[in-house]
Amino acid sequence: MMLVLTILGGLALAGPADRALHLMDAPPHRAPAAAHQVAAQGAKLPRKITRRITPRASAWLSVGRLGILDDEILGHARTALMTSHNPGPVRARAAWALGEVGRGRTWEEVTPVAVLLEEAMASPLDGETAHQVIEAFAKVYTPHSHTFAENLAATRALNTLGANQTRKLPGVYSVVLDQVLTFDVAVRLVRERVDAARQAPSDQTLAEAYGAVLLTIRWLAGRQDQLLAGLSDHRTAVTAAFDALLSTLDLNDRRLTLMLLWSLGEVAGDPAFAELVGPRTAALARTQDPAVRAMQAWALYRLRSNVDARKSLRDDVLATETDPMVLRLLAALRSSPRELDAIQKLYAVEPRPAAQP
Amino acid sequence: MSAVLLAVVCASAWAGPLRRTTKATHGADAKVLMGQLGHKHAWVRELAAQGLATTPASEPAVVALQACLDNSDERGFVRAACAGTLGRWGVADAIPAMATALTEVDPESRYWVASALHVLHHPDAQAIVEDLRADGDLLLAAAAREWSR
Repeated sequence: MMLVLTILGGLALAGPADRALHLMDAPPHRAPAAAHQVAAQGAKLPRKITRRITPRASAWLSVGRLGILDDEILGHARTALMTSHNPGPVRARAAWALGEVGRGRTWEEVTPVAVLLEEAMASPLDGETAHQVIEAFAKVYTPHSHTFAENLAATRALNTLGANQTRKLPGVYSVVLDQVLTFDVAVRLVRERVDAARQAPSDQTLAEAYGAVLLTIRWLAGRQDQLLAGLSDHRTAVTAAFDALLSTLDLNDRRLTLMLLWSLGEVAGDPAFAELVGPRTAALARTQDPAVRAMQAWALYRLRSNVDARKSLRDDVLATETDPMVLRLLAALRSSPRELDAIQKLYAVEPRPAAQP
Repeated sequence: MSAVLLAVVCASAWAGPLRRTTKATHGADAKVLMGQLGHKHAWVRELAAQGLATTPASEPAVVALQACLDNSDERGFVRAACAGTLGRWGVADAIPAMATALTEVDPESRYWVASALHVLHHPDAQAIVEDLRADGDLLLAAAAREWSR
């Protein structure tokens, strides 16, 4: 009797977290059964969901280290990860486990894991879970080569995750994006997201359009020299990318317009790119918003190698602008006091020779 | 009555290693944690190795952790935890063992061993981390690039 009491008491006090963790030491021949047992424990949803967090999170630690992947475990992981009211530590650990069990497997084996992680990215996630989902996705997706459709789905999911996060995304987000984002995917994503925002404008669709534009700008900025060097080969593709980006201006969203104008000024300053972007930027109607006008003036200045941009800056901006902030900005656009400012350059003012002493 | 009391005492003594190790970590109880480094369950050894980082470095603990790091039969995550504490203690003598562990453990543990090298802030460790910038493991290479800035 005493022995029974001792054993029962010991087991009760040892706790479910210990028992879940013990199972990670299961020998190989018992690993599948152990993995099923702990995955089932990790997927339990107590009536009061904030209870038993440590045992459930510990269970997923064991699942990840046991390295077993099958439909049953995937089903349990889905329950733990996709139950939105499940506490973050459990969801995060389940995501981590998915990445671990997916390591070193073929794409066919891990496709369902990647699909589940993409679903998770499209759902509301706390910061830590989002981080673990991205890392897990990197582990299962990036070691393999992919089709356009797969990369588009991955980029879509990452973009939605980015749009839903209010905190700074972990560095691994950009690392994964660099792996999945191709030129065609970026252009398609911008078109898709801009269309969605146009058809059903909402904070969500606009945030996703913003994210897609940002991804494409980053893509272009990262390959600016390469694209310029081979522009004759890439001209159609680059034109398509800028057209897709410029279509964003039709949404008339202030944040998007400001970001796009700034970005175009940054990446399209080279005359070859300015030729593609200048006319549409020049045709953008002047708005009542001085911040947008200032940004437009700055972008036009940067694109001034294009005749339309230069003409618009002179005839539409300088001739009509009355806001001192915008005019001060243009007057400040020079790198040294001796250099002509934007206004002087546009009116082709000749620099005065230095006075003789 | 005494039987029940004895049962409770025994049960308390058994009280899960998670609780015991966590309590020792919070109390910076190096003696208990050193004892747990020899536990039969790998996760307890891992937790104990991590917990030792909350205590001041001592020679016996450094020796024990280095032995753990050197032990190629030990689980990767335990070796990584031992490396982590040695890194936090600034034990530069452990760099060669960490470099060896990097070639022997699983990818997740490699990341944590590399992290231990990074926190050492030692030129030899930094050189190893810099080499990892071109590692085939995407996450490790990205982290190494970040750490090498």
